[in-house]
Amino acid sequence: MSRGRSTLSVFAAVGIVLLVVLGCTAPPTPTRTPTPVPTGTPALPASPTPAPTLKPGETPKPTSTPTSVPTWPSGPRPTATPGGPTPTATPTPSFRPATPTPTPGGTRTPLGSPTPAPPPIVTDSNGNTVTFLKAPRRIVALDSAAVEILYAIGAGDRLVGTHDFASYPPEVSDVPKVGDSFNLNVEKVAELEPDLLYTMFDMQNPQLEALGIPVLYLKSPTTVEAIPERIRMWGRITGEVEAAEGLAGMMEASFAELEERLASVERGPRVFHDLGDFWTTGPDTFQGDMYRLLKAENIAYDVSGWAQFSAEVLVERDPEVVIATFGAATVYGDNPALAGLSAVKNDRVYSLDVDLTTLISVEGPRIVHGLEELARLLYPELFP
Amino acid sequence: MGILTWRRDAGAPGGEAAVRTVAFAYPWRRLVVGALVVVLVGLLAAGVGSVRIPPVALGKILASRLPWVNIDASWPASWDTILWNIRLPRVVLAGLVGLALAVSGATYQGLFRNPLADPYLIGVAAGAGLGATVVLVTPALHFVSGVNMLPIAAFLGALLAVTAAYGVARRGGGLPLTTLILAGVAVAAMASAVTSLLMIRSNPDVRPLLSWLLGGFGRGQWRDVLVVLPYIVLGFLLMMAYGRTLNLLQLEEEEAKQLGVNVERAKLLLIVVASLTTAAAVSVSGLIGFVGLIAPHAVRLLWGYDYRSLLPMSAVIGAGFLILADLVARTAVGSGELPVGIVTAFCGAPFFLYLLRRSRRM
Repeated sequence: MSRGRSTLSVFAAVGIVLLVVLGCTAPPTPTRTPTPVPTGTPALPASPTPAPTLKPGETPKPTSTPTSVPTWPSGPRPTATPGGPTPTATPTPSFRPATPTPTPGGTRTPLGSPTPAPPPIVTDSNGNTVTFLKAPRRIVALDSAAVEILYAIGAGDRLVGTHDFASYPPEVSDVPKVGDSFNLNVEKVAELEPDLLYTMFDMQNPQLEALGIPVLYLKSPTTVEAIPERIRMWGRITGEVEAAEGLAGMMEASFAELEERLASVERGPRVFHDLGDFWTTGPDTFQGDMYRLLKAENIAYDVSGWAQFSAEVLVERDPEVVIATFGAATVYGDNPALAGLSAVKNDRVYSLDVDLTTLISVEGPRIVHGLEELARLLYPELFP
Repeated sequence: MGILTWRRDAGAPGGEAAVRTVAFAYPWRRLVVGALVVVLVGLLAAGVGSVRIPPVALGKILASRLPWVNIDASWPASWDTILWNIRLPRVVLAGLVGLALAVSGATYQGLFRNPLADPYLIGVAAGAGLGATVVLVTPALHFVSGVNMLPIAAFLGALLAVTAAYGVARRGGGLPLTTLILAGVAVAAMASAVTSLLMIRSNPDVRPLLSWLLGGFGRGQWRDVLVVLPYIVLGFLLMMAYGRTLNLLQLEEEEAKQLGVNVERAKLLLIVVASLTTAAAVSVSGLIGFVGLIAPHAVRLLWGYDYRSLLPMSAVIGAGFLILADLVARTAVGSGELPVGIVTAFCGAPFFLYLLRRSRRM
């Protein structure tokens, strides 16, 4: 462990020098590391070995959720990782805003910062880099996936606000609600004094930044594989690197296992994903990507994003399975035009209840179970 | 408030027609030709789509449905489903709805003597929108013991809104039309506010709702055709019967009374009939803008102001236009669909502007 500490201090020293040099020599440029840190590689040289209870090869039991890994729920966590939060209140800025132009007076340096490692840097969806000089302690997350990830890596106690529709884990019901991404109660947000606001839409970001609220804007991921990366990112931001790595590794292992179980499948069923009134999702969406992973053939292969699918094309492409989200399935028993669909004839129109609809829609740790449920519906013979 | 009133000068063609009711020849030829064109447009729309059905196959598939014809099916089974269960119902439905909206629009314009009047003027659209929204944001209400509640809720919402506006506006034995418009606008504003509130507070996918509000025939079935057919046919015939009265109502109410019109009864009947017809149309199609406003004006610009020919020609133009608009809506974007309300406004507005421009030169 002492060797780890010395490595860390070397890193910290390099980081500080780098930042000072950058800050003094190039005032108009934001701090950019030579190679922008992709969200995948941990920026901290901390040990990437997962917590002992999280064996990567182990698949989660169907009944247990990944969020019930030992890191969660917990009281005030010890600062296990170097990037972890320290309770000392320092006047140091904890965050470098995601603006390409630096604040007057040059780039701030983490000289007084208690974190002795190069700060995590995240590139947001506008291409700006966001540097975390200090792990955020008061997070407002306007995204269910981020909420679930924070709880799952043991940082749920830092959540001071979330959107109105957050419902999982149950603890989130005690977290103050601040509207949603489209109808944000900015006053309420300001009152919560967050040191990080996470959002998937950037409409109100200028307003929030003007109020001095640090914003991290990342669009929702459109691939399943991006979720473990998001979890690792949250690990680096919050300092819960080990827990995040454990969870991410477990998810990746479960994806790999799913792939293995589907290895014998040559051609998956033709599937139609119905969000109601024939609204469906193309392959470039998150749901579309789930079907790719599950080797099912999304009949809306030529749809980009979301679209209302034509009933004629639905009949023409004849889905073998219909996955209908909450409330969308009733039309299949009602419309004579759909009576000839293979899915209808073979009784394979699956209506997801509210919980299952959420489970396959939130791009968080529970997607492992969402995928499993979908696999069960698509391949009843392989997943009894 | 800037509500335009709109009267014929004695010299204008409509004014003449309104007073001089002697030399009116019913435009049979124009009507028959128009109806034939609508049928042809309907057949074209039935053949064109994401799957193109050639005319011969189209004829065979249609003929094979006749009880005494026996044709071996030489076409894919999916064609039969697509044509018979998807395309034809929506073509017929688009025609009926276009007819209903255009005739109701013409009636409202005549009744309120207001060129800006459309069938949604006194709250039908907002009420129907609210009814549909309530159902769509509570999936438990969508199907009650197997019955699709959406059209029913939209229909009831429309009637409720109009009734509220009517109840507020009615004074003693009379019904001041300006008050009715204002009451309708206020009721519509309230209903729209509640609709928006429900949309914004509903979690989280409002796309189906939005596409309903913009109108479309994607869920159209023969059953819907059968449900709305009596309302629309009956409403159409009743409004047609009041063509001459509508002409006279273009005069001041006092003058119309002296010419033998029971003005109050005509107003009441026309409002009830036009609202019912519109509500029936809206319940199966959602809120399709523009048709009810523009079709009657196009007819006026092309063929004059006499309501006895204006009403049937509006029906023809409205039906044909909406069938074509629906054709565009379902073929414009690959395997997806557009809300037809977008198409009616986007394609209809330039055509109407052209007509306006042309008529000014005349």
